[in-house]
Amino acid sequence: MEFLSLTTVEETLDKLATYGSDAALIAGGTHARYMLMSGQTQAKAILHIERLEALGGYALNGSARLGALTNMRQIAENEDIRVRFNSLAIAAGKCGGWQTQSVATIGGNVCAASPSADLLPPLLVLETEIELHSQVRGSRSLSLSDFITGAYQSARAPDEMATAFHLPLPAPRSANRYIKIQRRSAMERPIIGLALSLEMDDSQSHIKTIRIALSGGGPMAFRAVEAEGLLTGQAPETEVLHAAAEAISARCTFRDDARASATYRAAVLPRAFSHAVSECLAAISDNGS
Amino acid sequence: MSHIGSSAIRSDAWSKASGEAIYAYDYKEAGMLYGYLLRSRHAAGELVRLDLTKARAMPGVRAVICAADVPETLAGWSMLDTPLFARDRVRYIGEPIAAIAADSLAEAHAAAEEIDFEIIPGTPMLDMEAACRTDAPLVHADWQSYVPAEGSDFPRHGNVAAECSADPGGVDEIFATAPLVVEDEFTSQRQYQAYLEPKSAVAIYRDRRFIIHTGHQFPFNVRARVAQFMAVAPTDVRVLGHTIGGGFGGKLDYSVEPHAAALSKAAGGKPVKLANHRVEDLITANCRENTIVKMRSALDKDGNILARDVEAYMDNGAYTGEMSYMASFPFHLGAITYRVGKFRAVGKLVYTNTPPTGAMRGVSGPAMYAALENHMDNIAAKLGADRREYRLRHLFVDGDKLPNGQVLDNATILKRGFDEIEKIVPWSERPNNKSERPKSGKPSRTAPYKGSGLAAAIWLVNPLPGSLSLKLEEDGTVSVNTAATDNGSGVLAAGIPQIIAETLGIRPEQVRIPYPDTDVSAWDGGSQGGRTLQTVGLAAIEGAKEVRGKLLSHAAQLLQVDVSALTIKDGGIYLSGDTKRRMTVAEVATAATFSGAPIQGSGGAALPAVPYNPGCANGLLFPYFTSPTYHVHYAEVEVSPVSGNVAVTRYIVAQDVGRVINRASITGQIQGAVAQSIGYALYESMRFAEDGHIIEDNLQFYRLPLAVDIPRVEYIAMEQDSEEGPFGAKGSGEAPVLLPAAVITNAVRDAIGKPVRKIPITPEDVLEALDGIGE
Amino acid sequence: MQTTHSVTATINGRAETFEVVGLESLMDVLRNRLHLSGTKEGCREGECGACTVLLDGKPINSCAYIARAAEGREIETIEGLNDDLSYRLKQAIVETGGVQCGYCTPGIIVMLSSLLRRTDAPDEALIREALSGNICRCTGYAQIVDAVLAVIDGNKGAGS
Repeated sequence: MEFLSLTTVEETLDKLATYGSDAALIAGGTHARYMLMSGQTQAKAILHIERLEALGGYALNGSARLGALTNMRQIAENEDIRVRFNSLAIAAGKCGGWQTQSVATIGGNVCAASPSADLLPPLLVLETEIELHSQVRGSRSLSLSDFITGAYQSARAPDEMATAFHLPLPAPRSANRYIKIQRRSAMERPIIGLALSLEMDDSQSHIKTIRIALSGGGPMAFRAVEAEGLLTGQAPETEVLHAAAEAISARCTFRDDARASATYRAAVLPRAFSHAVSECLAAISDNGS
Repeated sequence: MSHIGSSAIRSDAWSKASGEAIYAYDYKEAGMLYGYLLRSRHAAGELVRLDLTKARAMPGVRAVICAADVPETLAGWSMLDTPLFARDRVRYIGEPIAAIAADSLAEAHAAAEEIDFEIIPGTPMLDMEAACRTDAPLVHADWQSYVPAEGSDFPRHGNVAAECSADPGGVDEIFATAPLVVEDEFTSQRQYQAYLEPKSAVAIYRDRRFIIHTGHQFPFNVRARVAQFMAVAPTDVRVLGHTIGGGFGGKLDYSVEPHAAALSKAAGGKPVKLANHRVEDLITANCRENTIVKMRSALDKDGNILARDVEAYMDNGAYTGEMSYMASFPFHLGAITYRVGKFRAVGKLVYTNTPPTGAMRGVSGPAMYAALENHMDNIAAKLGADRREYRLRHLFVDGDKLPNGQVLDNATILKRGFDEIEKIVPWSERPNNKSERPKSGKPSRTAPYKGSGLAAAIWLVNPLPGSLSLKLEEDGTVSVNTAATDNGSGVLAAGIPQIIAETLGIRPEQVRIPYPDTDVSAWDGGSQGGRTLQTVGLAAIEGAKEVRGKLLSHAAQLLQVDVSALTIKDGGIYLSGDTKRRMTVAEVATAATFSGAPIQGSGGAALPAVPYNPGCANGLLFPYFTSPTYHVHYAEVEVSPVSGNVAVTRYIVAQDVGRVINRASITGQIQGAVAQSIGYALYESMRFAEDGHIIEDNLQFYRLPLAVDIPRVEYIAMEQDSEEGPFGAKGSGEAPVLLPAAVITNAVRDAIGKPVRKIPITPEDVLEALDGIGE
Repeated sequence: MQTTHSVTATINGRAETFEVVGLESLMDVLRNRLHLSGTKEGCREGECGACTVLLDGKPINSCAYIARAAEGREIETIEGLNDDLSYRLKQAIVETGGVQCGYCTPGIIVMLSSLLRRTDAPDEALIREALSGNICRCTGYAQIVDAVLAVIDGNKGAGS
C-alpha cells in the first residue's frame, strides 16, 4: 500500500485519475484511519491531502465558499459562520472533541456520508452545493441532496475530489439552528441530529420558507420535504407543527442500536423539532437573523 | 498544628505533570517479550480441542501456554474457584484460554491466529433470578468441591456463590397486618472503574522466583494470587510497584500478572509484558456488580417502619474473587441510617456466565443506598410527608445500632450534616416546578424540569492492617518503607508525609515514600476503603515517634543535656523555650549512623475490632463497620423535556472526615468521587446481549463523564476528631461515591413526578416516564 | 507484510528520523520508537485524550493519527512543553490539586497550552469545552479548571 503526501490539487487529481477506486483520500484521518485499519476501506494508495493549502479558506462573494479542507474548529470559531450559518458552526463545534475538530475536515465529513454525520443536516438545510474536481472532466457542482446517495455512499466518482462547498447567503428574517440529541454534552455521535432553516414573511406571522433535515432517522441524512410542504406559508401554530412532526416521523425508519432505541428516537424527534422551531423563531424575532 | 490541614503539594505531582513519571503501562525491561492472551469469545461452552503446535512454530514466538502447562490449582481471594486458563470449559467472554510471548506484539497476535481450538457453545446463564432456581443449569458443576481461601465455609449452593441472611421471625405477620406496605424494586448495572491507565504487568522468572512489576493497589494481594496460581510459597513471588494511573478498586485483585509470570517461566526467564488494550481491559474488568434489590417496608399510621424486608441479588460473574464478602452488604445496608423495627434480609451473590465482578469504590454501597433512599422517598410520598422531615424524624442518633448490633456512638453527626446543608440551601427554598407538571406526550415546553434530592449514609473504613518502617537519612530527610500504595489520592505523596513531618518536627517535603517492594516493604492491606490515611497514618505516627525518641536521645547524649529538655522544630534541635538551634536533625542522624546506631523506626496499626452481635445473620463474612463515618448529600437537577437528559446543576456534600489532613486532597477526593457516581447514575451503561457480550465495549459507548458534564461540588468537611485516626482523621476517599446515585434518582423523581428505579437513569427512561409508558 | 518507511519530523524542536510500520499511529511511534512515554495510551480510539500532542501547533489525538503523515511536520509532546506558559500551567495544576493519578495530566497540559496560546482569557465554560476531549477519572475536573483560571489571573497580574 502506497502512502503519498500531496501538496497540490493537480498532483492529487492526477493520482486519483491513476488509482481511482483503489485510492483513499485522507486529511486528518480521524475517520479514514479507522476505516483502513479495520479493513472496511480497502486501498492500494492512500492520498494524504491534509496539507493542501489551496483547499482551505472561507470567502464571501455573493454566496459563501468554504474550502473542503476547512477543519471543524475553524468552522466552529468563525464569527461570520456562527452568525450566518449558526447550525453549521454549532454542528462543527459538537463533532467530537477539539482534538478531532483540529484535523477533521468538512470535506472528509461530507464525503464519508455517515448516517450520523453531524454536518450533513445543517448543510442540507442551507442548500449547500458541493464542488467536485477530476483531472479528466474538470469541475462540476452538485446539490448536497443529490450528492448523498445512501449510507456511506455518495455521488463522488472514484477519480473526483471535493474542493469546496458553496452556501447561498441566508435570507433576511431567517434563522438556522442545529439540535443534537446526545447522551453526554460532548464526544457523541448524534442519536438524532436535526437542522432547521426558517424564514418568516415581512410581518413575521407566517412561514415563508422552511427546510428541515435530519440524521439518525434512516440510512442517510435527508430533507423532510413533506413536512416542509405542510408548513410553507403557514403560521407556526401547534396543530400544524404537530402535523409536520408526524410527517417527519413518517419518513423515518428508526432502529435500535447501541446508542439509543427506536422508541426513544421516535419519542424525541417531535420534541427536537418543536425545540428547533422555538429557537429559530426566537432568533428571528430577536434580530431577524 | 502547622502541617495538618494544609494544602501541602504532592511530591509526585510535578513528575506526573511533566510526563516524567513512569507508570506500570510505560514500564519496560531490556530483552522484554510481548505477551498476548487468547480469550474466549463464548460466554459458555465446552473447550473440546486446543492445539498449540502451529502457534509455537510461528516466527518470533518464545512460548505458548495453556492450562496443561501451569499448575492445576484453583486460586481466588475469598473462594478457590478460578483456574488460570480455561480447562474443559469456558465461563465468560474474555476468559483466558492460552497465552503467547513473542519478540513483538504483532508476532504474538499472528501466533494467536494459529492456535487451533474448538468450543462447543452452551447457553450462557445471564439472569440472576433464573440462576437461583433449583433446577437452573450450573455455572460451576463442581461447586461443592470448592473451598474458601481461608476460614470456614459459608452458606452457598448451586449458582449462589455466597448467601448472607437474617430472619428474626415475625416479619410476615407484621406485613400482614400493617396499615401501609410500600414495596420497591431497584436495579443497577455494572460500573467499570475506567482508570485511565489500563492494566499491565511485566514478569520475570529468575532464580526460581517470580518478579512482578505492576501498578497495583495491593502488592501483597497480587503476590498471594501469583503464588496460588504458580503453586509456590508467597515469598517466592516478589512484587514491585510503580506509579499507578488510577485503580478505584479494579487493581486490588490479580488481572494479567499470573499469566505474565507463567509466560516468563515458559520462555526461559525472559521478561514478559502483558498490557491490556482498553477494549480488552473493559470487557474483562472486575466491575462493580449489577444488582436487583427488592425492598419492602411495613408502616404504622404514623409512618414508623415496623418491619423491613430486603431481598438482593448481586452478580458474581463467572468466578468469585473477593465478592463473597459483598453478600453481607444487603444485610448491613438494608435497614441503616433510619430506624426500623424488625428486619429480615437475604443477599445472594450469584454465579453467571459474565466477567467476574469485583470491588469498585464503595463496593455494593452506591446501589444499596440508591435503593434505600429511593424507597424512603417513595414512603414519604405515600404518607404525604415532606422527604426531609420524614428522614429527620427517623434518623439515627448516638446510641442507635446497625443491623449487626454494633452501637454507633456518633450517629448524631448525621443530623449535623442535614443542618449544614440547610444553611447553604434551605429545604424550603429548593428549586422545583410544582406548578408545571408535564402533560403526557405533548412537547409543550422547553424549559427544564427542576428537582432536588437529599440522602444520608453511614460508611466504614476498611479494617485491614498496615505497617511501615522509617529511616532517618544522613541529610535529615526520612525514607519510608511500606507496601502501602497511592492510586491517586495523594495519601502517600502528601498526607502521610504531613503526618510524619508533624510528629517528627521536619517538613513534609523531607519525607519520601518509594514504591513498594514486597521483599523489603512492610505489609499493607492495599489502597482501598479509605484505610491508608487512617491506618497507615497511625502506623506512621508510631514509627515517627520511635524515630523522634531515638533522635532526641542521641541528641541529648551529644549535647550533654537531659532528653526532656530538647525539642525538634523544622529540622533543628532546640532547648525547649530557646530559639537558638543547637544541632540539625541531619547532624544527629549522621552521628548516629556512624556510631553504628542508625535511627530507624517502625509502626503497625489495625483499627480496633467492633463489638457486634455475632448471631445477627448467617454467612456474615464481613461482620462490622470499622470506624464509622457519616454523610449527607444534596443534589439539584434539571431535566430536559426535549431529550430527557438530566444535568446535575448543584451538588453539596456534608462529610464526617474526623480531621482534614490535606485540604487539596480531600477536595479532589470528594469532587472526583461525586463525578464517578454521576457517571454511574447518568452516563455509564453496561448491558449484556443475549450471547453474553457487553454492548458498551469501548469508550465511545461506555460513557465516562466529561468536563462539560460535571458541576463543581461544594462540601462541608465536618471535623470532629476521631480517637481512631491520626490527628483525628478518618478515611475519606471512598465514601463520597455512595450517595450521588441516590440523590440524583430522587431529584429526577422530584423533577418529573415519576420514579425511576434503575441505575443508570437514561434519557430513554426519563422520556418513557414522562410519556407514561409502562404505567 | 507491512511496509516500513523512514520518516523525518521535528519532535520538540529537534529533527528526528524514525521508522514507521504501515499505518501505525503517531502515539505508538512516540512511545515505542522514540521512547517518549509522557504521551500516554488510554484507549487507542481517540476518545480519552491522554495521547494528546500538538501537530503544527494544533492539538490532536496521536493514537488516531497516522505516523507516516507526520513527515516534515512539527510535533510537540509534553516533554517539549517547557515554554513559560506551559511551565506556569504545570505549576498551577500542581498547586491546585489538579493532579491525582496524573495519567491524564500530560494530555491535559498539552490541550490547555494550546488553548491559552490562542485565547488570552477563556471563561470557565470555554475551558470545560476545550477539555471535553480529555477524560479525567480522578479529579472531577474542578481543580484542573482552577489551575487554568489561576494562570489567567497570573497573566492579568503580570500585565501580559
